[in-house]
Amino acid sequence: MTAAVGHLFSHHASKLRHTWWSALVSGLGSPTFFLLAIGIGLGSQISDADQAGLGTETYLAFIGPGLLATNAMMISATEGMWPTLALLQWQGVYRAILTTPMTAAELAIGHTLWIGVRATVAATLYLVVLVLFGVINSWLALFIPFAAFLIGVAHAAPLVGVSAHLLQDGIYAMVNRAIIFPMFMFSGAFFPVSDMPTVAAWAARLLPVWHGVELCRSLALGSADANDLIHVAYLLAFSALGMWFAVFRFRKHVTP
Amino acid sequence: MTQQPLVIKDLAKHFGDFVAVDGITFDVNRGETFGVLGPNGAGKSSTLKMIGTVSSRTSGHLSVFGLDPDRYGKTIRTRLGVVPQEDIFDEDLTAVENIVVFARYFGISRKVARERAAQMLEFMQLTEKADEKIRALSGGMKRRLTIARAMVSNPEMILLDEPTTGLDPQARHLLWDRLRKLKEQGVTLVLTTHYMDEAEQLSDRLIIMDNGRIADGGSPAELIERHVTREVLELRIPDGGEVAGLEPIAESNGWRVDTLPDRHLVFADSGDAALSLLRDGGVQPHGTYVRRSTLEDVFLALTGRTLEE
Repeated sequence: MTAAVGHLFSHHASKLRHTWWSALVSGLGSPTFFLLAIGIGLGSQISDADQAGLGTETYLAFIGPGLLATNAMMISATEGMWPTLALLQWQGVYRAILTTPMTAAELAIGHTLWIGVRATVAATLYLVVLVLFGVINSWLALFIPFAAFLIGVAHAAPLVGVSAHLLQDGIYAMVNRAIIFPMFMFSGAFFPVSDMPTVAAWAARLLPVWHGVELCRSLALGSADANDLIHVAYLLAFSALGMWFAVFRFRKHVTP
Repeated sequence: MTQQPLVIKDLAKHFGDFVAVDGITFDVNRGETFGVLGPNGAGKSSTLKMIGTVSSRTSGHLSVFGLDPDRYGKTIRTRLGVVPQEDIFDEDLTAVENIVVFARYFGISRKVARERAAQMLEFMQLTEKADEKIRALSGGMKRRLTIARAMVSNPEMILLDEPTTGLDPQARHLLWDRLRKLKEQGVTLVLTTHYMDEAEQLSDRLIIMDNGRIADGGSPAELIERHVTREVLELRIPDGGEVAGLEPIAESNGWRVDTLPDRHLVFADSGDAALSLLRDGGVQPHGTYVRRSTLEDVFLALTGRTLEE
């Protein structure tokens, strides 16, 4: 299994040799624009009194790690949809790979973990930008890429399973609009979920992305403690469940 | 006794109510080139996918290299080369990178993979295209690259699904030549095709499939001998007309006549002799052509249809 996943990683890494520069530009550019516009631009409109409830010195420091976490979610969710389907169906590279000793399960797991790696890389670039914006004040922030990996796998795995199940892109736009985007808005990245009505707040706390946002924020602020392990456990459980689903769908639909 | 690389007995594949493969039985010997001839939708690809262990069987016996694909899929695929119907590549990578990456999935080290890839590209006459992106390759080149990729792991048996469909005659002949070279090297080849000339040119033995079943099997010569005469006399049917007087003469000489939309096929051991007899009997055909019988005629005799239909 480890060797098989390694082969898939080295395959995807060879692809990156041709596209790394565009990944780098968007990986650094997108956070910069987001932090300038929302963190500083919108943040300047927030009064000190409002800010007191956030638990951070500035709105930028509040929203920065949250955006990093939601960015990891967005990237992984997207990767679990169109690019996954391209590999399975449109270009079909994975169908060719299934004629090698790789099994459907190895492919499903390797593919999902690779998306986790993509999220990790994106989060690392995001972290660099956050450091440049001066909002990171703890060495614990070095754990953020690992948190991003968990966020990535937790969100990619179920969608990889859905992609393998449907083998067409009909519902992706709906998934994006009705699931991913609302999760982004109510993830706790922009405002504390505790500001919402109780029921909505608890619903938001069930979202894996909320756990990701909270985890990244405590790591960035250096306030992480044993309670944050709950976030890690939640993301791990979600990842495991999603991975099981992805493997099941790959076995059933990709090799009928 | 050396073990046969492929043994199939009563193999079936159903997709819901649809029966793609309906109980077929055949085996393939080591070093043999085995053809599966049939029209589109005959069940050829489904059969190849089961052999390639990327599709499970509904029922029947299937053993590849003496192993059960349900339990030893991975082991079987390690020893197998597969040329799928479509040329699927990673479009982000160059020709040679595609082969190297593919070899790595077989656990071949990067160094050996590079050496093997270079050899395979050389064998498939693609060395000059090694560093080109996939979209820069012609259809024939892509097909050869797919075969180069299938060979990179040094497989004992290669499955080829419609290896020359869509290629121009020159590209086809180059490919046939390469496949014959592979056979000389002792590689077992199993190929599907709906081209009777391809099956005849390449196969030591073949089966003719239709509607998921095997209509008959044997060497090309055996099949022709069993089902049709040595030669065929083709008589063109004039537009809106008929070839008057053909039937009684054919009947009295015991020739079988198959009728296609534009021509009659008269199966006689000597086409020229049959034509003289017809002319003596007063038949005045508008166009005639005497040729050797082919597997196309065998298919027509077995199914009443042509392969192109």
